[in-house]
Amino acid sequence: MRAVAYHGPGTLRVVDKPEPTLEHPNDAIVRVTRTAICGSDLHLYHGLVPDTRVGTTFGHEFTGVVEAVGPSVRTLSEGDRVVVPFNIACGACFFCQRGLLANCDNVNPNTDIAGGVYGYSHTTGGYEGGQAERVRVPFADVGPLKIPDDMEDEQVLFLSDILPTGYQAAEMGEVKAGETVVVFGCGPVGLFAQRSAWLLGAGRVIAVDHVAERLDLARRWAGAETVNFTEVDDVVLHLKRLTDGRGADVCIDAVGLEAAGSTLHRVLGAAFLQAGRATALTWAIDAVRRGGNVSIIGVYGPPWNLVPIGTAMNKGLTLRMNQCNVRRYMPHLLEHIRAGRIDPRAIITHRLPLEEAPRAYELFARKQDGCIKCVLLPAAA
Amino acid sequence: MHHDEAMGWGVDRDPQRRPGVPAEQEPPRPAAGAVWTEPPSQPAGRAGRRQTPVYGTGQPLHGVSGVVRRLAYRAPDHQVRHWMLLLLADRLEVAGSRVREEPARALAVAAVLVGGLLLVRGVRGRRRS
Ligand SMILES: NC(=O)c1ccc[n+]([C@@H]2O[C@H](COP(=O)([O-])OP(=O)(O)OC[C@H]3O[C@@H](n4cnc5c(N)ncnc54)[C@H](O)[C@@H]3O)[C@@H](O)[C@H]2O)c1
Ligand SMILES: [Zn+2]
Ligand SMILES: [Zn+2]
Repeated sequence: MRAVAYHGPGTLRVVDKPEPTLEHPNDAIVRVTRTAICGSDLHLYHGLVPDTRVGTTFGHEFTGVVEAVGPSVRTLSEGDRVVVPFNIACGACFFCQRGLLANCDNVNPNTDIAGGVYGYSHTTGGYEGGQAERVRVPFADVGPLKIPDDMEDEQVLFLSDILPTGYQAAEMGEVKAGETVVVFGCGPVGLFAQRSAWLLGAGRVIAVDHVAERLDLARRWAGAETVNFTEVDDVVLHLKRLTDGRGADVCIDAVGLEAAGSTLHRVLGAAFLQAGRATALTWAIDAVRRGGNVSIIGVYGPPWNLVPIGTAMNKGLTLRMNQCNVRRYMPHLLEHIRAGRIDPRAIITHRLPLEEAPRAYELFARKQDGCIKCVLLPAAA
Repeated sequence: MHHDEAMGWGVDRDPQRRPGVPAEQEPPRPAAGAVWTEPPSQPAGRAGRRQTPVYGTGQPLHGVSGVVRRLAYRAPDHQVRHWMLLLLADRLEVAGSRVREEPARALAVAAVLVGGLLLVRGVRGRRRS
């Protein structure tokens, strides 16, 4: 089959790979119909995630059709259309029982800090990803959601990651009715976090980025006030001015370790004195009000980052964070899609054949051609 | 705009309606579909640092990077050396695969690097004398 394979920082190739096989009684094999490139994939693509091995197939956002199931699979059968959460989880361990499906104890032999994720290095379990014609889906009875017959793949594709992730970001901010929410980042995750903040009853949503067309979508589609951080002197002071000098009730970091905007962070990151650049997180801590909430959904790498934790302590902040526990959110967000409250397709700017994945990554990484979200189509889709 | 009905303003205002509240499900219970208490195991192969019931089987360890990765996995997660060795192994593996794929180009790059190094040392040496 054809699959996207990593060949070093900035280099991907579409290659022939062996078909996936059933390796566990609860596995399924899914033929991929749609797969997307995520901001998280860029961290891999840029060589920032430890133990990303040459030849790895990326991709953790996909829909597909079940082609085969292992002997213990009860809820899925051949021909079912599914959307698959990016987390692989057993559903029954200490963590899964508490709903922390992103932190499953039974799916990652390589580390204690992360669960299992498709196509996301051996640090998250060494699973092959969905940017391929077919993919092995472990714990098929736990993860996948059947796509309702009357819905198209692209309507639900982002239930695999970025819609639940954006929602969980707002939810971890514990937004109360009427509160002011600042979202750093107007990428796919930031945009969905902005829409989710409204669902939770926010009074104001302020979106921060430096890419014109993303800020534009934040304004038009997410109904946010926007701040281009390159156009203001000091983004923290600017945000405070916008919020009566007090700061926002909730700040969300939907940027992660590849943030722009600070030379200091850039230098420290380049010198390997921190993992990437914690610029947006620092701004979030500085721009939130005393006693406010900071929600971190942006990804950071080990071993550490330069973060003003003393400021956070003195201000009495609540910091919440995690990988998204995707499966928990799928039914609820499916209802929002069905009710027409949100159409996730609105952020798709590019649809390209799987064969053109290397170009798609380049467009998305460099934010060229107005690229906000790329969907890849395998030949047989 | 913000009280926009069409965008569902406030439909999840009530924390009870939010799927992730409380953050830890109370009481703990298995996810739908998980009929096991201890999930059955994939045939034990070369899983990784420990054996988990399920694991990925892509890209087994090989060569020099494999040796470094094995070393890395001897150190626990909270030791910086674990992550630094993994990042080092990543670079070694990429360099190795480039050499195998494009020996001529890799040789040229190596020659430029060595040449540059010699030049720098030459300049420094002259300054000292
Ligand atoms: N926790 C999870 O489960 C989870 C899931 C998916 C994605 N993520 C992470 O969320 C982050 C965003 O993902 P995405 O797909 O939207 O990525 P993206 O790269 O498309 O978006 C990031 C945006 O942040 C902007 N930006 C850069 N520096 C900034 C700064 N200092 N302040 C404000 N904005 C800044 C960029 O211009 C870009 O528009 C990534 O780190 C990704 O890894 C986490
Ligand atoms: Zn993702
Ligand atoms: Zn589990």
